[in-house]
Amino acid sequence: MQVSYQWLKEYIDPGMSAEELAEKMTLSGIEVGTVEKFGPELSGVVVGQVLKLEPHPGRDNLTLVEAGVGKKVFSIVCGARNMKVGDKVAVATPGSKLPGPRLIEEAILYGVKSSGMLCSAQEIGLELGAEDEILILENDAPLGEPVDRLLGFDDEILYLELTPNRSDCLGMINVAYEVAALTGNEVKLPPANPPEVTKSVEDAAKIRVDDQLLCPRYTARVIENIKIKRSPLWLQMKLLKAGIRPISNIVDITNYIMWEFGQPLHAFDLQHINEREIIVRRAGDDEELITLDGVKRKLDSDVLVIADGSVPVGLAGVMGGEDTEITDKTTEVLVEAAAFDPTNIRRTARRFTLPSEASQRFERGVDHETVMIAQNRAALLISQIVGGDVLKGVIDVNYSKAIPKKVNVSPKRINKVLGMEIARDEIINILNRLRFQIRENEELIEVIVPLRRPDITLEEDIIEEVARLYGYDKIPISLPSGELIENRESEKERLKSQLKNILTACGFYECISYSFINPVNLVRLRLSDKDKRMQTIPVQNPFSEEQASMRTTIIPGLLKAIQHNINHRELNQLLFEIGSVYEAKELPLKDLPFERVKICMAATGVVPEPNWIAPSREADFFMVKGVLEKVLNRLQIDNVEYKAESEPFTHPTRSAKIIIDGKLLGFIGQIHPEVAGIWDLTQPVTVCEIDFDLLAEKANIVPRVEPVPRYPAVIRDLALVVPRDITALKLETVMKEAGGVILTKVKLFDLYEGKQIPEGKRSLAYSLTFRREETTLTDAEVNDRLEDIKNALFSLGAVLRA
Amino acid sequence: MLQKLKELEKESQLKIDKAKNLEELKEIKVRILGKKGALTTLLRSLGTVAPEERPVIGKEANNLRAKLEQAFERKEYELRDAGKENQWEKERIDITLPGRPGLLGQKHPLTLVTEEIKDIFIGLGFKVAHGPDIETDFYNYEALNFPADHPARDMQDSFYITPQLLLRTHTSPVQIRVMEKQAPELPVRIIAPGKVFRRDDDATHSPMFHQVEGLAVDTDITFADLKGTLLLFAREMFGSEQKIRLRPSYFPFTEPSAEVDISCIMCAGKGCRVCSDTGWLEILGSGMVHPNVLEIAGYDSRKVTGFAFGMGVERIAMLKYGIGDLRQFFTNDLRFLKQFGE
Ligand SMILES: [Zn+2]
Repeated sequence: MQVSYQWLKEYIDPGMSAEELAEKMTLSGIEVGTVEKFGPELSGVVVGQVLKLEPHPGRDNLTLVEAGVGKKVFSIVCGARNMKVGDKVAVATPGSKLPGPRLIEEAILYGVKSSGMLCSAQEIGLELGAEDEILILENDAPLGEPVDRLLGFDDEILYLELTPNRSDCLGMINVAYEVAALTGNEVKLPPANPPEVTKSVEDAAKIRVDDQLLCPRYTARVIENIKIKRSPLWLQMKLLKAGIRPISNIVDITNYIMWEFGQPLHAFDLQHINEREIIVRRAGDDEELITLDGVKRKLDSDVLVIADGSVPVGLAGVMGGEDTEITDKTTEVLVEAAAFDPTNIRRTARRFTLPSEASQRFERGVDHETVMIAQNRAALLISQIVGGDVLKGVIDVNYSKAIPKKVNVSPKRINKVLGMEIARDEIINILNRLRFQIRENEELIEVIVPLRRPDITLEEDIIEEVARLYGYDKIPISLPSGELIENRESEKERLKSQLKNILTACGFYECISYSFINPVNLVRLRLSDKDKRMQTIPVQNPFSEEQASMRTTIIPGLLKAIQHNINHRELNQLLFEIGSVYEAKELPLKDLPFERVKICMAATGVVPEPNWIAPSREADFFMVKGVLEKVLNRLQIDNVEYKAESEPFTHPTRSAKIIIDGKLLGFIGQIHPEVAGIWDLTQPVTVCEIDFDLLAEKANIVPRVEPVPRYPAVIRDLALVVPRDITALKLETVMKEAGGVILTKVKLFDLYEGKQIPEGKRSLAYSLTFRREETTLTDAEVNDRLEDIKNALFSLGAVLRA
Repeated sequence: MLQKLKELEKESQLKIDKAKNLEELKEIKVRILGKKGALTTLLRSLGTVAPEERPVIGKEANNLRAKLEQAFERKEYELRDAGKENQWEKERIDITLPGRPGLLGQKHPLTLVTEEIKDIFIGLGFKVAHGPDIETDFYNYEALNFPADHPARDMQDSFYITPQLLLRTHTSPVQIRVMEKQAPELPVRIIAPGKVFRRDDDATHSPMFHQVEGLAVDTDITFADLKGTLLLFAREMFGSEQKIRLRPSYFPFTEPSAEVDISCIMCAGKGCRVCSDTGWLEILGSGMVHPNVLEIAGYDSRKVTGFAFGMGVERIAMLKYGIGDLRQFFTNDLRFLKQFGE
């Protein structure tokens, strides 16, 4: 809502500057976003009068104008043609500065000297008239008066940022009431008593309201013998200050009244209303209407329309119809001022995407009493500005049940909620300034809330009114008292945080990607239609495919990040994200879905970054597996099994499923080269995604401590050459079986394939730790066990490496 | 006698200092501390001293011996090192070379800020609660006093899953979920961090962002308590000099409601570009829990009161770290993430 400060002063004297008022309003709940000077900088442009018009000697399209500015006369070459002798015009005298900025100087135009310029409205910064049309000022404009002063360029515009509860301030007069509440000053209401002719409105039009719920009040006046033309400049200027484009006198007046009272009006060309009858009804299922914007709308019974004797002529409260629009030819109008059901207006405006100044006000609810005042005020302005005959009376179909609300408040409770002591008198004073009527009833105060404030229905609403006008800054400071409650994060949330600590300690950076997913990205992972992750939950109203569904895996999010970083030459990346994925129990969703937390890692490039001292190794499968092992070890989860099995998007022989106690924890694997190609990943990437809930279920957050061994260990190394198809897991299992209880640890410390090792084989070197709890081991004992281990390995096809 | 000991000390120290090599030092040591050395000789004459003075002198002499032995040892190291200069040179390292790289990542800035907020409120006796990202219309709107078709719903444009399910537009549904579960038990004191979603996407809005909700309900919670709690938070988060300003506002689920500003952290309230010359920065919305909300969640609004607040984590992170572009939080650009710790 744009509020012209000068216009506001017609209703109340704030007694302070616009800036001060803005600050005061903001701190009491009507936020003023900015205060801006209305007009642009202008200097040297003054009111002049056209004294003489002559054709330009050399150019047909130019005119020589003599413009008098008080004592001085300027000869000006002008391209426009809409002025006549005697018109008052805006003369930019030589040396003037126009917005742009543009400097006006004397010039020779096709052989004729031109001393200055006649300005169009647009040239002085007003969104008015045509480009090639001189601005014609009002006849009584004093000669020589600076035009910026004449037109109120120094006015200030307050841009209100209204919350939905305070849409009363969508009308200037209610803004004035708000100022009154702040200052205690009086509100002056504008006159609303039109002169009427003897002919009765009943003889000119009929009104019928079929749906009283959707239209609780409908009033109409008829004005005859009018002539449609431009509004006087003062009215156009006022509309410009409100941010409304002036159109023609009748339409401008209805807009003016809407701005003044917050009550939208609509004017119909009565000659185009069939049978001169207005019927407010629901539309029929096959009816259509071409609205003012020229679009044909299909209607049905959900839509409230204004119809004439035969067809709809307007969407009630939203937009008028083209057929009954006010045109240059209009000579009699029917002015509608009505109240409609806010919800219905809102639905219609949304359905046709037609949010308008009118619908915005109706959907927040208009004051049923003001309907009549606005109607009469409009008729007065029409008679003053347009002329014509205002027919006698108003047709008023009124089913309204609106009565002022009564709210009981207790000063004691006000103070209890606010945590302070505001005196009863002060509370009463504030309610008086709000123009709320009160009746004191022992301890209680009964407040009668005027209809213009439908937002106030409860004692709490009054508490807010008192608090905001008393001043939030005067409310004291305290802290909640009372017993302390258990106040920490849940075990699971703390585990999440601990995981983040472990992963960052391993060099990983935490990412946050959108919970949305473009389903195409799942196809780009080559997931089959049967894959559970393809059952994404669709978003009904995304504004792009990127939000089309909810994610079922974090992998695409991290791949996108990897790709982005590779593009920006950050080649070595260790990334992770811990976040929810969304699993539908059934589609379409009937109930809340499962929100499962996943831990996702992605690694690419080398680790550490190339440097002079430590070797850089590829951030590959084993790097990520190492980090995963760290996590599992830290949480004391054993019984983990890695099964060589790939995902559709991971490398067929460089992938594993991770299983704990027979349950699938997740997977780890290098991105399949084909998929890497689809995602523009120019270097190998390894990903891992595991289930947080299962991890949390199996985790031992508090470590179990065993005694430190008392007897020394014996360590033996064993280098083997084994067929390539025997897995490390197999070797380890065999060694452990043969080694018995005294073999406490088997550690691989070297792996080699290549020269000196026969084709199809590889060499592995293990360090074996033997220990017994109760005694020191003898060499003989260890040797015996070692022989058993070797024999077991030999039977697998292993040989000792020389 | 004492005098003689002092002189011997002085003399010996001089000789030690002058020794040019290990042999020389050894010789001096024998001459002073050896069996026939100066100190021993001196002590032999102890007999001539009065018996009552003997213990004092004996103690002094022992001290001197220990002192001199240390001096010899120190000199010995010095002479030994002096002989190895070639070796030291050979073993020289360039200490200006960078150290061996260790691995250390960092949490996302939004995680860092959320953890900080959580810690502050945990310290004030708040418990952390959570709710789902996909919510029912009831929890996200209806129970929070946003009736269907109410213009207040325009304040937050939502992503719908079905007519009854949507992506939560704020963390406020957690208020209802917590109260419903706990009612009529008192007190309630929670904060709820989480993701929220709104149908906006431009330079200053992201379709997904993060909030932290706060709620305190008890028999005597006041607006002053809200103000005090938020002031404390602002000071913990942005510095002990912080001021806050409450402005009346509107949220359907609180009444009275307030927007909360902190004094601009860029200009300390003097006015600058960041605060549009107002000296204030809006950081959160708050208010006293609306009676309709208390009632629907199972509390008697005549007997209990509460306050609630909600803040945008991105907004706070942007202010705290001086981040200009909201979208940077979700591109996961390492050049951005590494600035929070490389
Ligand atoms: Zn500032």
